[in-house]
Amino acid sequence: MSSVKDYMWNTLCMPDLHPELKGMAYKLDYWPDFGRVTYKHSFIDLCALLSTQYVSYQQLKSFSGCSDETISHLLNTLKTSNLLSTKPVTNDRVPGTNPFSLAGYKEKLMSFLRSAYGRNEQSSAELVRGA
Amino acid sequence: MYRKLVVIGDVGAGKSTLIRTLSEIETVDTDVTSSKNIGKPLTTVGIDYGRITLGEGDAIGLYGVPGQKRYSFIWDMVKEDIWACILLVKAEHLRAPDKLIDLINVFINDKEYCPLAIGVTHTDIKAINQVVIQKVLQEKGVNAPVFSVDARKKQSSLLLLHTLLSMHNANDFSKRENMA
Ligand SMILES: Nc1nc2c(ncn2[C@@H]2O[C@H](COP(=O)(O)OP(=O)(O)O)[C@@H](O)[C@H]2O)c(=O)[nH]1
Ligand SMILES: [Mg+2]
Repeated sequence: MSSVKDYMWNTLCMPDLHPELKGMAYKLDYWPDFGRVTYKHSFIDLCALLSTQYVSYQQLKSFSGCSDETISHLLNTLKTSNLLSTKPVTNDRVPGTNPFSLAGYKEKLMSFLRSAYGRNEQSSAELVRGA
Repeated sequence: MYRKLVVIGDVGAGKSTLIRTLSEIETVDTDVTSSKNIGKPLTTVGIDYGRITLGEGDAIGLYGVPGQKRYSFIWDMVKEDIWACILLVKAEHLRAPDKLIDLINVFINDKEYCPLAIGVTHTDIKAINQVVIQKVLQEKGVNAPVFSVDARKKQSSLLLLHTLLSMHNANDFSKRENMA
């Protein structure tokens, strides 16, 4: 993996969404290798949604509840890594106005994961060092 | 409610290790001594079993199932009503990803949404290009994340479990959005 991409995954400070990504709908072509990069745990949720179909920025937000910084960080990095397709948002219906919340066993499993992660909001690429 | 997470993979792929890492209870490991030299002293002949208890009657049961065709009698015992599926493959055994399709199709069918995540183990020994693997699988109609993992590491097992949960959530969300 190139150092630019490594840098983008690793950096904690990410500027705004890239101008080319504004007003677009996004779809994940391929998952990044989270075994080899540093990632915020919420990137997993965002990638899962991006892999289902083209989704808008608002949908990503409403699904994940993530900050703008986190969403921009992921979209910018996916785009730079050639893992993301984009197309202009066509219908301007405001989707996903009700925030998505987990219930039942999904909520419990998410708490299980959170307690296993401990205080860490991200996991680092420990496998890279062994390679 | 009880939900089944099936971990499929060839001997030595890391199933028992992964299930041990994920399960908080003592796993029932059915390893016995093998007469064949497979690079380790023990091999799984049956099902590994583990469990994640979530409280108030919810649990995830973890089933480790050998991937070789001669164990298909075991496949038949676990392949119904699966909540999610992890396929573990040793990096050095990944020469032809399309060969995995038949195995995947045993466990993933159109009946009910069942996410699949693929963990490639022993990448500390041989690195992989996971985009190429995803591409080959997509051409055969299988959309699944592929990660370099190490079954011995908690981080890897959490990555796989979190991904499967997120895929379920995303499926629910996109159903909701498409109905709106
Ligand atoms: N080097 C290395 N060893 C691993 C990895 N994953 C599992 N192992 C080891 O591989 C061996 C086989 O794992 P096991 O869980 O018994 O495989 P199973 O036959 O699928 O149940 C064990 O000694 C594990 O500790 C990995 O990613 N890298
Ligand atoms: Mg085993």
